[in-house]
Parts: sequence; structure tokens; C-alpha cells
Amino acid sequence: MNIKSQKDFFSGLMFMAVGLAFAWGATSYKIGDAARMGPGYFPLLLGVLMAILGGVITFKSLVVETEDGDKIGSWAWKPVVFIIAGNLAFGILLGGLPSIKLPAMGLIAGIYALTLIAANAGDEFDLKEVLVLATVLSVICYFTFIKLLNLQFPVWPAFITG
Amino acid sequence: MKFLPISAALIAAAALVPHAAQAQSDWPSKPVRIVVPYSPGGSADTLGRFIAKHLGEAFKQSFVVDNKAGAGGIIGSQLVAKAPPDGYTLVVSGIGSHVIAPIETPNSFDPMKDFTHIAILGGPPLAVIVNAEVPVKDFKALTPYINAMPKGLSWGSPGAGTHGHLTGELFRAAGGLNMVHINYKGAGPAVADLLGNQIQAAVMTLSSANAHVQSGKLRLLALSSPKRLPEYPTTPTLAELGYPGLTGTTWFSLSGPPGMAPALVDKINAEVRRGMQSAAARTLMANESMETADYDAPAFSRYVASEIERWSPAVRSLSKPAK
Amino acid sequence: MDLIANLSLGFGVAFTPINLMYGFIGCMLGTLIGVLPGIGPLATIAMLLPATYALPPVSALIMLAGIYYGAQYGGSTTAILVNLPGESSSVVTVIDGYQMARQGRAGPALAAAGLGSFFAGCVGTLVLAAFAVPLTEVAFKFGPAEYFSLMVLGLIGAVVLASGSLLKAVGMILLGLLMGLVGTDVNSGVARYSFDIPELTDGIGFIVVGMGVFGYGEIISNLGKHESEREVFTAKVEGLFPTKADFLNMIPAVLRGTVLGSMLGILPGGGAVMAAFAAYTLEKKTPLRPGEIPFGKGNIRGVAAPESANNAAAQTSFIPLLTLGIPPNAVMALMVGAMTIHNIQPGPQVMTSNPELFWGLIASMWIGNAMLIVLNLPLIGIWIKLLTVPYRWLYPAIVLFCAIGVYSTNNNTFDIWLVGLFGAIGYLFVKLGTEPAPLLLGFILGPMMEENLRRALLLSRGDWSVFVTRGLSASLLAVAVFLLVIVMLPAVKKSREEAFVED
Repeated sequence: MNIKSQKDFFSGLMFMAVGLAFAWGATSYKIGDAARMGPGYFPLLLGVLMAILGGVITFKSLVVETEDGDKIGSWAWKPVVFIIAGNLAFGILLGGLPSIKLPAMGLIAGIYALTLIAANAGDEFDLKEVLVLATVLSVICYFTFIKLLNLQFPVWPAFITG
Repeated sequence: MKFLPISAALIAAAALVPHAAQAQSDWPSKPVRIVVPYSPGGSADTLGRFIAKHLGEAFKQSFVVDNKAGAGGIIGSQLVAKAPPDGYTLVVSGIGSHVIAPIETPNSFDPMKDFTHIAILGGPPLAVIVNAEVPVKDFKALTPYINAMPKGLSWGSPGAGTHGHLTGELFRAAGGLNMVHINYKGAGPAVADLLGNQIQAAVMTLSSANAHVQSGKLRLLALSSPKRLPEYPTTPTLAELGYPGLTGTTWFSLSGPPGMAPALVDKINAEVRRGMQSAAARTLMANESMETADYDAPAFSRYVASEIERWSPAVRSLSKPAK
Repeated sequence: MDLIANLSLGFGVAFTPINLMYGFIGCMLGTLIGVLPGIGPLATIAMLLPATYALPPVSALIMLAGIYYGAQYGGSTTAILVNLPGESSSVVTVIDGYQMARQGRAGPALAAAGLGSFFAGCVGTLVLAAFAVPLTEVAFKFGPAEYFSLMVLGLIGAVVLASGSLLKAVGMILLGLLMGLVGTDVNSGVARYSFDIPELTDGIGFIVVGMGVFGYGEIISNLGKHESEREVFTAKVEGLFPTKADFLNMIPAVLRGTVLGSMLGILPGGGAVMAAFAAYTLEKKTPLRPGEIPFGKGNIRGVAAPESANNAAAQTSFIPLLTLGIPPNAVMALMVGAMTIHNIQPGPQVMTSNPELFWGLIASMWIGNAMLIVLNLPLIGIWIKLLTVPYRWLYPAIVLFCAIGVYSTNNNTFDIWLVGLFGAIGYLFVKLGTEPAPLLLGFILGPMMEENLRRALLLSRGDWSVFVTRGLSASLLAVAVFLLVIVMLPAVKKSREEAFVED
């Protein structure tokens, strides 16, 4: 199999897979007919269309010449992991995680966690600098979101505010 | 530097004294969310915002309306049924979302068990309206007009599960008429299409159509109130026209999650009643052609139960043929 | 002329010190909210509405209107500076605006957005004032079939939003449409694709997708590149203002955008949403002048046109509200709520029974636009300074603000997980060379398209030909087909050329 365009090949596969998934899911809802469309009609239609399109894209990727093979290139694992982890940490600390009995630790804790973790996603990491950044962000967020806009966020850990 | 966050936390902990939860007497100590399970602009929304404003002034807290429309009021109501019964999440319930829709949507919720009913707000009667260009001058001419249409009549309502939808369907069933219901997400879009003559007739709350009836773009054929309204003395009621079973008010109310403390419920009920009997309320009711009632919480709960009993057979009679 | 008399009445009402102050507060708040990604005007207006009960109705509406535009202006700022579309209308601005910022031309981009919006706002207000009533009649011609065809046209135009492969752009549109269908089906009450997760029964929020795909996706992709490849904008920040050449290019774009936006805004069923997309599409199809940067790489017209369009649409979208009482979107609906609380029934009689309110509001719109331009132009200098912050400090802040913005909509941590998920998906899109802008348009239009398709077929009793037998719908579809042909023509020509060369 001579893949002329790697990007197109895999995007085509993605579209086919997702299209089929949505179409398959649509069958568990009532389809109905054109005059009385059920909840499954439109998703089924679109899912099938997308799967077909995906097929065409994949086919093209095997046939149409490209300059450099349109390579996907290397994946940036470090940024992905740390940014997502930072995001997850923020959410867990902000709201707490009932399944492991972790109470809400609040906005400030979340900001520190997110900043410390996400900072690892870049090329450099200076602990002192990162802590200063986290503090600055905490102050900005506190004044803008909590004081000025009066948003209802848990700010401090639950065991402090009771 | 590493010790800074920890010492800050310790200082904060020492400075703040945790306070015990005294839910009822402290309520409301933070903003209260009133979910309106319909799109903004309709009668439920108007009443919800009115009472939110009144309660906000009375309790000196923020009562914020949150619109969560869909499925005839089910979606927004389900959210509230699952909320903690601490009085900070309430819903504008009503005949549509808590009497009719739950029967039409199985597995949604039990309107009596899954909610605490607090107080009634009030509501308008239903109006049967047609676009002024439609050659139907009065209600009696409607049935022959529908029968003469080869493809039947396309009519609208504020959505499946609303009082307007039910009444229209009951009318259709009584006469065996060819009427196709076009679903809308609330009264606003339905009025828009009615004005644009995409649909020819509609059954919805009078409040939603009032402005356009007065301006002459829509024609009012009948009302579902028990007696004729002073602002429309020439419009007959459905009872007079031979449909006494269709008489009813589209009432809305305030409810909360199940298990709310009776003391809290009474507290809110008392203030809502004060609000609905106030001069501001009277002006609103007059403008919107609505009426209100005065029940304490247990009496209101009984009223909801009685409405469910009254309308259940009618709703079930319609669900039998495929929708 | 009657119009002049009405406008002077309006200005008389709006130009009082008190009302000017409320307008200013509204604009400031709105800008602040618009700049903070994720926190949209809807949430803010909902929160502030109770505060307006104490105010006289005209002042309350003026403040709310100020918040609305302020948020739009602020939203374009974040879109240009950090690739974050805070609102559906900023999605298109991101495409060329961010590219301009990366090339050190953030200043001209922001100025283009501001000036274009201001011009469009003035024109839109005039249109509103002069043609409100006759335009509602036009809006009535649009039934469900016409809305559906209009959206099809819009989606085909969206294909043009992508600079890469056409087929992949169509795929992204379809994907967006499908994603928009996740949630409870309004017609039947059935929860689709929600996997029994209660948070999904309400569907996936636009902000979640926007923040994740654009915001996180861009950050991850940026960090993934080698230090040398990374275009850090700190280095070259050129002039703050557009050059003379820029202005020459911009002016026709602003004019086109304004006309298109004014027309689309009057449709109560959601025309305004498409205004920015439509304007960009139109602009992209006009030939490039020699020396102009191609679209998608930082063409100033790609910022000026959509910004003008969506501000014009924002103005004219008041028409269905004021004349019919039908709110075209959620923010307007809140205004209806505000009016009703003050015992004003929005509808045809508002013009006659409350002329001071109607014309005062219109005048305040113009004043609001003027205030915003005065506020925002000097701010450009400050925003530019912000860009000089080293990236390693900037990106955690962006990640944080995205998470906060998303959480603030529902106070639900689930939304934060979703942003993370879409961030990863966004990065995947970047690697696969599939572009997110068409996806977002599909996402926004999906549920509306389905609703209108269903309704059109119900009204026609299952007859598909209704889309071509109704004149307006047929013409829209014809334009759609025409657009499709134009869009595909270069691609067809190119492959034909390749075929010839190989021979």
C-alpha cells in the first residue's frame, strides 16, 4: 500500500470510523420516515455520508501524488500529557472527586496545580518562576472572577470554609 | 519559597472559623437559581423573572433565572429534581412540565414524588388563534375550514407536552379532524411562523399572542378560561362552544427538589404569595391576561395532584395512536 | 423627515448623563467579559439582570445593550491575540486574525476589527431605524424550508473557510453537525449519544469545543514545534495601526460585510450566526490584489469583513425583537424578559406606545458603538504589550482561563474534562491537517438545520420537493450549488493541469 498522503490517509480513516460509529448509534433510536423524522434519522443520514466521504478521502490518499508524502510527523507527547494533566488537576482540585473522597480544594489550589503541571509542557522549567506565575495568576483570578464578576467558585479548600 | 503556600494555608485556616450549616434560618445566604424549563420570553419565563425579582428584593439575595428549555419542560425539571433540597435550586413548574409532559414522556419523572411543590404563581388561559389572513371569522367556521383542506391543517403550539398542545390535540380527536401538529421550541418561534403564515393556526397561552391579536395580525377565535375575559368580551370560551372538558388555565408554579424541609417550603411559599398578591403582580397579571390563586404549600400540593388526576385520562387517550 | 425626528427623540433620551454612564458601564463590563475567554455575555447579562430591575427601563436596556456589544468587541480581541473564539461570531476572526498576530500585525488586526465593527454598527443602526417595519415583512417570507436552504448555503460556504483540502473540510462540517446533535432531541425528548452521562443530555457546549480545539490545540501544537520553528510573536511587533494599503484593502471588505450582515441579522431564526461566516466566504471568493497575503495566512480583509458583518447583524437582529417581540437569540430573549419585567410588551406597538424606549435604545446602540471604539483603540497598545510576555508564562495562563471560563458556564467540573478532551482532539486535528473552523460552523448549525428540516418536511407532509418548489428556498439552493461549483472549480482545474503535465 503506497500511501501518498499520510495526513489524508488517517483523516479518511478517522472520518470513516466516526461516521460509522454515529450511524450505528443512530440505529438505536427511532428513525421514522421523511414526514415524521425520528431522532435517529438525521444522525444516520449524516453518519453514512461522513463514512462515505471518509472512504473517498482515504482512496484519494492512496492515489493522488503529493510533494512530500504529507507526513504527519512526530507527536508532541510531552505538551499533550502535561497540558491535559494540568487541566485535569485543576478540575479535580477545584471541584473535588467524590469517587476517591477528595473534597473540593478550591480555585487557588487548582491554579497552583495547573500552573505547576502545565509549565512542564514547555522546554524550560524554573520552579521559582513558576510559583511566582501561579501566585500572580491566583491574585488576578481572585480579583477578576470572584470579587469583580461575583462568580460562584469554591475558592479555598472545603475543610477551611466548612 | 516552598513553604509559602503551606504557611498561607495555615494562616487562612486559623483566621477563618468554620460555621455550622444552618440551612433554613440562613437561607438564602448565596444566590438562588430558578430554572425556567422553557425558552426566554414565554409566560413561564415572565412569571419566573417576576417572582425572582420579588424574592430577590424580599430576601436581599440574588435570584437568578436560568433557562433550560426542551422536551416540554422535562429537561430543565429533571435537572432540578436531582439537585440538593437546600433551597438553592428551584424550578418554575406548571401544568405543562409537571402534569402533561411527564405522562407523555415515560421514564422522565414522577411529578409528585420527585418534587416538592412550593407555591402557585398563576397563568393565562389558552387562546385558539389563526393568522388574520385565514378565511375563518369565528370558531364555528374552523371545523368546516379544516375539513375542506386536502392535506389537513398545519397548526402549532409551544411544544409537545404543553397545555396548548394537549388542548389542540383533544379538539382534533373530538372532531376526528385532519390536523398536523408542528412542534416548536416555545411560543416565540410558533408565533413567528404563525405571523408568517407558515402555519395557519395555533393554540397557545393568550399572553404569548396578545400583542399581535391587538395589532390585528392574528385573530382570536376562542379562550379556555371558564368565563369570558373583560379585555375580549366578544370572544367565546371553549365551554360555551361545546368543549367544557377543554376549560383550563395554563398555570405555573414554583417547585423544588424532593425532600425540602417543610419550614423552608413554608418560608418561600409565604413570600411568593405576598409577591403574587402585590400591586406589581396585579399590574403584570392585567397586562398578561393572567390570573393567580392563593394556596399554602400543602394545599398547593393537593392542587397539583388533583390536576394530574384531572388531565391524565385525556393525555392517555391521545397517546394510544402512534405519535 | 420622520426618521430625523425620531432619531432626535432617541438621542435626547439616550444622551443624558445618567444613561451615558449606564451605557459606559455596560460597555466596560461587556468588554471585560468578552476578553475573558469562555465567559460570555449571556451568563453575565443573566447575572446582572436583577440589578437592572431597579433602573428605569431605558437605562436598563441601554446597559444590557452595552454589555452585548462590549462582549462582541472583547471577543474579537481574544480571538486575534490568542486564537480563542469566545463566541460563535469570533470563530472566523480567529482564522486570519491570529495569523496576523503571529506576524506581528496584531495592532492592525485589532484596529481593523474595531473600525470595521464601528462602521457596520453605524450602518446597521441606520438600517434598523429606517427600515425596521418593512424588513420584518421580508423576514416573514422565511419559513423552515428557506432557513434550511440558507443553512445549506452557509455550510457550503463554510467549506471555503478551510484553506486546505476541500473534502476534509466537508468531513469536518459533517463531524460538526453530528457533534451538535449530541444531547436531548427537542422534538422527541430522546437523549442522543449521551451514554447516560447527565451532563451530556444538554449537549456539548460551544465554548467547550471552541476552547479545547482552538485554544488547547494551538498551545499543544505550538509547544510541540522545535524552538526554531515556533513563531513567537514577541520579536516583531510592528505598527499599531493599519497602513494605507491596509485601509484600501479593508474598505470594500467592510462594505461587503456590512451589507451581508445587515441582511442576515433580520432573520429571527438565526441568520446572525452565519453573518461572519458568510462574509468571510464572500471575501475569500473575491480576487486577491497583487501583493496581498492569501486568506488563512493573515489577510486583513479576513478580519475586517466578518467583524463588520457580525456587528451589522447584531444591530439588525434587534428588528425582530423590537417589532415582533421575537428574540432571535438567547441574549435578546433576556432583553425581552427585562422589558416585560418593566411592563413593556415588546411587539409592534412598542414603536407607537413607547417611542422614547424604542428610539432611545436605537440611539444608545450608536452611542455604544462609539464608546467602544473610543475604549478599544487605545487599549490596543496595552494588548500588544501583553503579547510581549514570554510564551512560557502566557500559555499556562491561557490554559487556566479556558478552564475557568468553561467552568463558569455551569459550575460543573465535567465541562473542564471535556475541554481537556477536546484539547487532545484539537491537537489530533492539527496533526491530521483537518481544520476546525468548518467543524464549529457545522456544530452551531447542526441542531437548527435538523429542526428546520423536520419542520419543513412536516409542513409538506414528507414531500422533499418543497425545497425546490418554494421560490426563495429554490434560489438559495441554486446559489449553494453555484457556490459549490465555484469552490470546486480551482480544485478540478488543478488536477486537470496535473494530468496534462504528466502526459
